[in-house]
Amino acid sequence: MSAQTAAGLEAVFGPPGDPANPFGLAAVVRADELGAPPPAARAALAAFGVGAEFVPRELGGRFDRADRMVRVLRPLGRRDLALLIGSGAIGLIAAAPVWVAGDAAQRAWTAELLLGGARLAAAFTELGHGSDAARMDLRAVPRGDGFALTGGKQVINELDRADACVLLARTGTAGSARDLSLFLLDMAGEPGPGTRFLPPFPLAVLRGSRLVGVEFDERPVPAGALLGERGHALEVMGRAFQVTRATLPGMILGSLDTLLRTTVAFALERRLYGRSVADLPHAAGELTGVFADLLACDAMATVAARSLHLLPGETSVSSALTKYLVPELLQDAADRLGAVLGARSYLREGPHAIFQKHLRDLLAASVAHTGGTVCLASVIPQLPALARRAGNAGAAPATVFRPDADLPALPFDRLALSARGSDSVASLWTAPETADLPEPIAALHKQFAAEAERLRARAAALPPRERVLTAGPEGFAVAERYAVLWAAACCLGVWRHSPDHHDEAWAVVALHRLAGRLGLVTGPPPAAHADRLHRILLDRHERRRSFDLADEPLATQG
Amino acid sequence: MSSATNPSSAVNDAVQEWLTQRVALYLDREPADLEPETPLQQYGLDSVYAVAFCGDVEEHFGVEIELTLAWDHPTLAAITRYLHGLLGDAGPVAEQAG
Repeated sequence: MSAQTAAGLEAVFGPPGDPANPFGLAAVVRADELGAPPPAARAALAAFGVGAEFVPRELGGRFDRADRMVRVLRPLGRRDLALLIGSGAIGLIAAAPVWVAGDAAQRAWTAELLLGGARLAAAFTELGHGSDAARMDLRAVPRGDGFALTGGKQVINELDRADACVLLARTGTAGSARDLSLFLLDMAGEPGPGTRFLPPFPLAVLRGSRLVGVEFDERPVPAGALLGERGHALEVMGRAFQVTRATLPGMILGSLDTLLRTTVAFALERRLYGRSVADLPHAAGELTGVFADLLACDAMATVAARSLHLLPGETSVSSALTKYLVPELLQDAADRLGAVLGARSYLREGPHAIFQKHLRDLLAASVAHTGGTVCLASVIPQLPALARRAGNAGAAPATVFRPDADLPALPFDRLALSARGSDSVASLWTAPETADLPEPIAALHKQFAAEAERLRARAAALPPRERVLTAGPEGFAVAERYAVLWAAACCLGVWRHSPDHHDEAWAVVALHRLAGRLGLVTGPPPAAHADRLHRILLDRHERRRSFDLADEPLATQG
Repeated sequence: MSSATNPSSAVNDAVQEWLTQRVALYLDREPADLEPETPLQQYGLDSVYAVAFCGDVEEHFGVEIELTLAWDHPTLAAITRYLHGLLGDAGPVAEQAG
C-alpha cells in the first residue's frame, strides 16, 4: 500500500526530466518565473485527492500513518515546494487543530471539505508578532450568541480563496495565556460582512504561492465556530503543531533530492582536469556527504512521524527538534551543492535552472509554519528535565525506527505539551549496548554517549533565566547539540532495525558527519564507507531512484 | 528577603515564598519586586516558561501537576492556593482564575 500510493503522486506528475511534461521540472521553472503554480497542477492534485491524505481513516480519509503521509507528499517536494506547501500541506496545517480540539460536527465538516477538494486556510500569523502567538492583536469580542472579529492577519496562504479557515484571535484581556481562542470559519462564497482581503504579497521565494492579508471590521462569527474551549488556543496549537512539525520536514526534504540529482547530473557530464567532476575527490566527498545528510534527515523525519503514534507523550520535543534540524541540514547541504554547481546554481535558464528555484524556496520552507529558532527555543525549557530524567523512559520500541511497520491510530488527545523529561529515542546514549555494533559505529556511539553526558551536565547547570524563550547563547547551544544527538540516535536506530542492516555505509557517513557538527571527530569519513556510499549514489542516479530511505523509482519517460 | 509586599492579598507562607524566589530567578529580578496578585505574564514571563516552571514545581514538591497550571493560575497567589489544595494542607482549595 505504502509504496504504491507514493508512486501514485510521482505518477500523477510524470517524468520530472521531460521538457514537454506540464508538471516536469522545466514547467515548474517556467511557472515560477510567472509567479504561479504550474497550470492544471491543482486540478491534478484534486483528482489524486490529496486532501484525503490529511483526513484520519475513521473520518473517511487515508491518514492512517503519519510517516506514510510524509512519503506520499514527498514527490511534491521534489517538484515544487510552493505547490507542496500552498496546495498540499496547508490542508494538514489547517486541519490538525480540528483533529485535536474540534467537536464531532467540526471534525465531520473539515473531513468533508478536505475529501471534496476544498481549500482550507490557516490564519495564525500577524506580521507584527511573528511566532509570538500570545501577543496577537486580532480580537474576537462577544456579540449576541457569537463573536465579532476586528483586526488583521497577514501572509496567509490563499485565505481569499479558501472555503474554510482556522483563525487565531484574542478573546480575553486578562493578560494571561488563556486570552487566545481558535475559530473554524466558513469562508465560502463572497468575502462576507466586515471582511476585506488585501492583495497578495509579492514574493522572492515560493513564487507560485498566493499569500494574502485580511482586515476584519466587526465580522460576525457564530458561537459554533469556536474551536476547542474558549481561551485554549495555545494548548490546542501546542498539540496540533506537533503533528505538522513532525511531518512537514519529511515532505520538504524531497527538495534536496532534486538539488542533489541536478548537481550529480552536472558533475557527471562536466569534465575538469581530465576527468568528470563527480570523480574529483572534493566534489565526490561533497556529493556523498549530502546524500548521507539527506538520509539522516529522512531518519529523523521517519522517527518523528512514527513517534506521533507510538510516543505521543514525547513529541513536544521530537517534533520541534525535527522542524529545527532538518531544514538546517537541508540548507547546509544545498549550499554545498551550490558550490559544486558553481555559476549554474544561480542561472534562471538552461538545464540546471531548477536548482536556483529550489534553493530559494528552501529558505522559506524552513521558516514556513513555524521557524526553526522558535522550535529550538521551545525545547530549551524542557532541557533540565530531559537531563535529570535521561534514560528513565527506557528504550524506544523498535517499531519507531521501522519505516514500513504497522502503527496504531494517531492519538491526538494524548499529544502532550511537555515530555516531562522523557526521550526514549535519546535513551540510546544512556544505555550503551555496543557489543553488537561494528566499527567504526561502535566508536562513534561512544563519542555520542560521552557528549550526551557532558550535555546533561550543561543542561542541569542552565540558570532559570536561560530556560525560557528569551534564553541566551548557552540555552540555545545546549538545545542545538541536543538536536544533533537526537538525529544521531535516529540514524543509528533506523540503520539497526532496517532489513539491510548489514550495509552500514550510509549510517557510518551520516553519523560521522553529525559527530563532525558537534566537533567530536575531525576529517573526512572513513574512505571505504564513503566510497561505497558514493557508488550507491551514482547507481541510484543512473537507475532513477529516489535518494531517500524509500529508494523508490521516479517516473520515467515512455 | 521578604516574599510578599502586598499585605492585603499575601498568603505569606513557605510555598509562596519558594514560588516567588523561583519565578524571580526566571525573571532575573528581586523576589521583593513581585506582587502576588499581578499576572506573571505582565512581568514578561512567556507562556512557554510554564513548562520549565512546572517541572521545577513537580521536582520540588514531589507532585504531578498539569502543565497548564501557570496558565489557569496566572498569579503567584493563585498558584500558591492551587498547590495548597493539591498538597492537602491547611491552605484554601484550588480556585480557577482568568
